[in-house]
Amino acid sequence: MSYGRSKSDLNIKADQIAALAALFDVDVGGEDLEGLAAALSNQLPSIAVLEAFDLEDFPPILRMDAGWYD
Amino acid sequence: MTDSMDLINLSISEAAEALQTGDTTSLALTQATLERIRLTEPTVRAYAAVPEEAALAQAEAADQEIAQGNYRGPLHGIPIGIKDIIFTEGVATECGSKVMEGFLPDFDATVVRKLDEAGAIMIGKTLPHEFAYGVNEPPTRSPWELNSYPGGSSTGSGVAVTVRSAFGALGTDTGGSIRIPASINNIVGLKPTYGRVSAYGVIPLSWTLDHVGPMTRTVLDNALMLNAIAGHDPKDLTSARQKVPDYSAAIDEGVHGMRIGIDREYVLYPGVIDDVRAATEAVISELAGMGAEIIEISLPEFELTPETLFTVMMAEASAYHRQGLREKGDLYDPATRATLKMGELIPATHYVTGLRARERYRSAMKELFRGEKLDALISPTMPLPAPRLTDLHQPRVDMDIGETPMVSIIHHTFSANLGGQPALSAPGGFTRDGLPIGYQLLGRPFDEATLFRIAYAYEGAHDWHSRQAPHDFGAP
Repeated sequence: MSYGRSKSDLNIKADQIAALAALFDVDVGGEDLEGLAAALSNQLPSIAVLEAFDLEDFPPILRMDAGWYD
Repeated sequence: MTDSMDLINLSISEAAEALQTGDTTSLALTQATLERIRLTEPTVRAYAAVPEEAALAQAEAADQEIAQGNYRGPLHGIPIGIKDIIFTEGVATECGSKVMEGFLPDFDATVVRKLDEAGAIMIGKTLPHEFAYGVNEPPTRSPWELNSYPGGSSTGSGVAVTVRSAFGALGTDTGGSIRIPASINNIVGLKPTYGRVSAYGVIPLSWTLDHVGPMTRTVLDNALMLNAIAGHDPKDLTSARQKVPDYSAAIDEGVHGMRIGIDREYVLYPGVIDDVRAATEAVISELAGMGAEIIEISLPEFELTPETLFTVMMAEASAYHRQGLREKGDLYDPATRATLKMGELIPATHYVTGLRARERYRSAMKELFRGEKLDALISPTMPLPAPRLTDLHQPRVDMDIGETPMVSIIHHTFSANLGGQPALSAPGGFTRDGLPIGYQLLGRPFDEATLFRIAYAYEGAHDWHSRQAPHDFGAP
């Protein structure tokens, strides 16, 4: 299920996922906990790839417009 | 022209010419296509639904109009497939999901209405990955190698066009879902500029990344389909107000003087297999031989495109499915359901950082095109040919960083969705094992016409696009 490019060192535990899921009202069955923990361990560190670039001068795109205007 | 194999092997432009000269009828084209569907479907399962009677009635009406001198244009009377996440009035739209089983839209998506106005025959609804997410395994099989990935998420559209059970098809593309099946199935697929084609009446995967576009056997056919479906739609808030040119008008003007960029370090990274590398270099050399100038460029921001796209897409997809997951969670495929749940656990701060990274990428791309005066960028569409289904999510044995084939195949396609630029995949050769290899062109916003010109010039020098899958479906 993971989209991550490589395995990360982050090791989220199943009980952490269970607590987070309960807080966010996400119904995660026991059989899915391990898989989600592994996938999220792989996904969350990807923020570091984004933050490796200087985003200081770049506000978020809130309305997508493909045009190139000056 | 009565042989059904002759008919289904026509391109859209050839069939259109035959209809105009009276060499064939829409009814004959539609019957031949339905016959082909009956022959191929037991093996490839490209379709979710084929409303046979409605298609035949449409064809008869088209023939009557053409006979009366009311010819609407090159799609008039031509059988076209529609990806089954696109609303079709009164015809089931199930998105490859039990969640939508039996759902009958009460209106047509704008793209379907436009195809109808152009006189096209809706031959059927093509199977997608569930909700176009790309994580479950649809029942569709590839005619190029039954055990290999048929491409997705416009899975059925790609397969239907390549096995000649549709003359063209509509796909949708959020991270490569038109271009990947196009590359795998040896056809032409265009992800137009964001906002160029209305998404009204299309089930969203990720609002800011979704695109609707044509999948065809030739470049000219693709331009003809885009002519029919492009344009502003007040019902779609993201629809662009840009003027729509005739995409086929200057398609044969060649590439002389065009500036085509390539970032070799990124697009020919170690994950690109030798056959794909060689095919891509051959396309580049050939375009250079035709008078294009090849510009070596470097865009470090390419590196942030996979993580940025996944962060944005997962958050948006989970937001769209939030209610569905709670009300009908058990009806989703387990892989889709798990990915949607994961999206709910991504922090909002990551999503907003993704939107900032996206702006950085988009700005860098704009500066690159302007600074280098580029007409297009070129790359392989995918670093490898269609992987075997059993290998799709296993780490590649030829790489030591744990990259799976599923991650590899989206390496080159994501950037166009982030920037909203048009991107086209077209046939660029075959591996030594006979699997298709596609190349990708990335263009300036709203300049699909330039991509068509380049691809048309290249297509004219080869017969790649006319080669068919080796699977023998038997005689009609």
